[in-house]
This record gives sequence, structure tokens and C-alpha cells, in this order.
Amino acid sequence: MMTARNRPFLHLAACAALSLFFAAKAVAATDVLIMTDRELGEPMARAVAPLRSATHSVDTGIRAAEAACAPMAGARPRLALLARVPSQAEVELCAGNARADAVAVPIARQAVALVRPAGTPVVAVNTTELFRAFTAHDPAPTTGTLLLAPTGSIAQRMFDGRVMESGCVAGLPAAKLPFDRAERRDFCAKTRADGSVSQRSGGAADVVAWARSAKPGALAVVSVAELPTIGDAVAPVALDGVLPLAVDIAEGRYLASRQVALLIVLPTDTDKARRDAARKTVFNLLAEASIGPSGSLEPADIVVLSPAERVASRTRALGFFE
Amino acid sequence: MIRPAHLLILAALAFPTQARAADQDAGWLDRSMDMARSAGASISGAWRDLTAPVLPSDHLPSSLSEDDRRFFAVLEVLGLQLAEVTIGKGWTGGATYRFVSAREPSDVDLDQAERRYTAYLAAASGFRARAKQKIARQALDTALGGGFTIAAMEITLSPWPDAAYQLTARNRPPELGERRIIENTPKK
Repeated sequence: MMTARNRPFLHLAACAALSLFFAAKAVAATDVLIMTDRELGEPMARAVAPLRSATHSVDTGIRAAEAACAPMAGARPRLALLARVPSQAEVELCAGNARADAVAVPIARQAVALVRPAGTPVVAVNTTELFRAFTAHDPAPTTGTLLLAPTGSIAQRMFDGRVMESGCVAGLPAAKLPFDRAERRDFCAKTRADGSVSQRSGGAADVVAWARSAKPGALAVVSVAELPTIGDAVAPVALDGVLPLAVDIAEGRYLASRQVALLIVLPTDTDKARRDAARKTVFNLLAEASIGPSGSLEPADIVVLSPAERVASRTRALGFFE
Repeated sequence: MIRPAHLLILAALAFPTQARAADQDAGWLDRSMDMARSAGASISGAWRDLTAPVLPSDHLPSSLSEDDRRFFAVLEVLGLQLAEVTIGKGWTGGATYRFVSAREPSDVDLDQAERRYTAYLAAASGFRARAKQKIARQALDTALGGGFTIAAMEITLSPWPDAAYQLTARNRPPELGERRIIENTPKK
């Protein structure tokens, strides 16, 4: 019963309830999940972190696409950064599974290059030879040396997954290869311990220092995004007959390259506030300040798309919200 | 084994009209003898054809058409390895190609499969090619996602391209026998 004595408490309780209601509504309104595929590594997760507000969350998972397409996330919009552009069939499957509308757009490329010290003889390598020369699974001695990129870097992950694994699959009998892809990658990436393979811990300066003292036949693994910083100290080497030129990377001819895609999953029962929050986040993620030259994703070793491709991705992604 | 070509030969033998027209003027004994000789030669030829062994080399991957090789190249890059060719089974005497999953496809495999599939679409046309492209697309879509993976696949190229799939759940529990092997394998 309301009396003059307990009235102030009731007012207080009502105010608290109202505050909680509006706070909860504000949290829900900006509740957009951003996921980065583990394949893209920590640098990408860090690069998208500025997009995170108090109520955004950035998750990493080995299969961000599966997490984004799972129905358990309910009405929350999901944005997943993936290490490849999913096919139309995959996007449709995702939309059906998550009871959502979904679209995937390319936002950048990543590529890894093998370089030789400038002034040393021109060499061309193929993945099988390279694997045989530097794998721990071949007992034959090797004459060359290889400088790997820092552990956990995108360049090193791509070298393991795209170069060493391709050589491993082509060079070893199927029965010797682990079936599971994660196990196979680890198996194929295991390099010699006889001193022919070393690993740098720093950035471009380490490569420049290496190039000054390296002998002919020495190779180093660098990301294509690092190449302009390294300058003339090194020269790229053709891999399977293809140099890491912009046109070959863009058209997928260069084996050690991939596209980074943004998968947008917008559940059909999401409310307007969440939809607007997702749209705003996508707008920021696809802005020039993010995916353009010198954008915030640059530390993730990206090779930016051409201006026309960037505009096309933006148009497609924002058109999806209309 | 009887093939459609063999049936045509037998049908032709049943109506030796040409031989009859040429021998109108000969005596009945000569005509009968010639007919018997002609029929004998034809039957002997047909018998040789009927009993001739199917050549396995005609169905090996090296003897396949460019179109079929492009088709198989998409499957191979998905980690499906040609493990068995069964030749001469069924009334057509064609071949069945059994592919077994040698590895779970990696992202590189999937990228390459998409590229090879696109190249295959551009390179081949016609109803038969379309049927094979459809099979390749189905294999690619299955490899791309979902809870199942292709454990094995049987492909028949003639008389019409067809496929049978054996799918396995990605996270299936090991069978009893497999579990015993796993449990009894010493850890390194």
C-alpha cells in the first residue's frame, strides 16, 4: 500500500527500473558482433578493434563464418572478417541457417612474397622444390637458406598455409599427409632444424639487415605489404612462375595471395536500432580510413583493393541495408 | 558383354538383303552356299567383336578426353583422389571412377577448385559437359561448408554422367574398431 512514508522509495525504485530499461535498450541497440577468422591472425583482430564500442564485441574463432552463420546468436547482426570470399552457395546456406539476410564483399587482399637479396642471381622457385629444400620431412641436405617471417605474423601464416602446404601436398604421397587440415598445415610447416632456416623477430629493418649479409641462394619470407618499406634491398622471386605483381594478385594467379572478405549477416527479426548500428559499423569498416591506402587495416598487412573495387564493395554492402 | 553396337550387327545379320540381290542369277545350291558362307563370316566377325575384351587402357585417366580431365581436375584439387576404376560393368561396358577423400580441403584447395571450376565452365559446353559441371559444382558446394564431407564419390561418365556420393559427418565419433586402434596407439 502506498503511504506518505514509503512514497520516496517507490519513486526511487521506479527511476531505477526506468534507468535499467533504457540502459538495456541502449546496449541492445548497438549489439553488433564482429568476428575475425583466426586465419587472419591477431593483427587483423587488433586492426578492427577501434570499431569496437563498449557494447560491440570482437571474437576470434578458427571458423568465423560458421560462428556468424550459427542460429544461436539470435537477432544480433554479425560481421565476420574472413580469409577468403565465400561462394554464393555458402552465403545462401549461411542466410538459411541463421534465418538472416547475408552478403559477402571483398575488402582487401593479402599476399606473401619470397625475396632474394638485391644483386644476387635471379632465381625462380616452385612450391614443391621449396618444400623439399626446407622441410623437416626431407632428410637430404640443402644448400639454400631461408629467413622466415615472425611467428604468428600474417606473412608466416600464409607462407605455411599457401606455400609449404601446397608443396607438401604435391610432393608427398597422400598416405603420409594428415587428413585434418589444421594438422596437415602444422605437419607441412615444420622446417629443418639444421640451421638453414632461421626466423626474424622484427620488421622490415631485419630484412634489410639480412639482405646486406645474405649469400646467393638465400631467400626470405615477407608480406607483399612490407615490400615498399624494405625498398631496393631485396628483389621478389617468381613462385611457380608468377611474380607477386598487383595484376597477378588481383586475378588470383599468384598462389601465395588471398582475398579478405566481410560477411554481413543480418537476422530477419533484428530491430531497427541494431540494423542501424550494423550499417554504421559496416560504413566505418569500408571507409577509406579503414580499407584505403594508409587506412587502419594497414597493420594487418593488407594490399588495398583498387579504387573501383573499393567503391563496388561499399556500394554492394551499403545497398544490402537499403 | 553386349553393347548397342553388337545389337546393331546382329540386327543387320537378320536381314541379308544385299547378298540376296547380288545373287539373283546363281543356282539355288550356289546361292545357298554363298549365303551360308556370308552368314558364317558375319557371325564369326560379330562373335569376335562380342567376345573381344574391353581394353582397360581406354578408360584410364591418360586416355580420357580433355573435357573429362578438366572435370576430374576440379575433384582432385578438392582432395578427392582417384582410387579405383571399374571397367566393363553394366550393359554399356563403361567405366566407374571411384574417388576417395585423401585430405580435407584447405582454403588454398577451395580457392583453386573455384578457379578450375570457372575455367572448366568457360572451356566446355554441351549437355554432357553441363551434367559434369553440375556434379563438380555439387562436390565443391559440399566441400565448402556444412556438417558433412565427401568421403568417397563414384562417377560414371557413360552413357550419361552420373555420381554417387558417400558423405561423412565432419565430427562423427569413431567406430568401435577405430576407437580401439586410437586407444591402443602409443602416444608420441
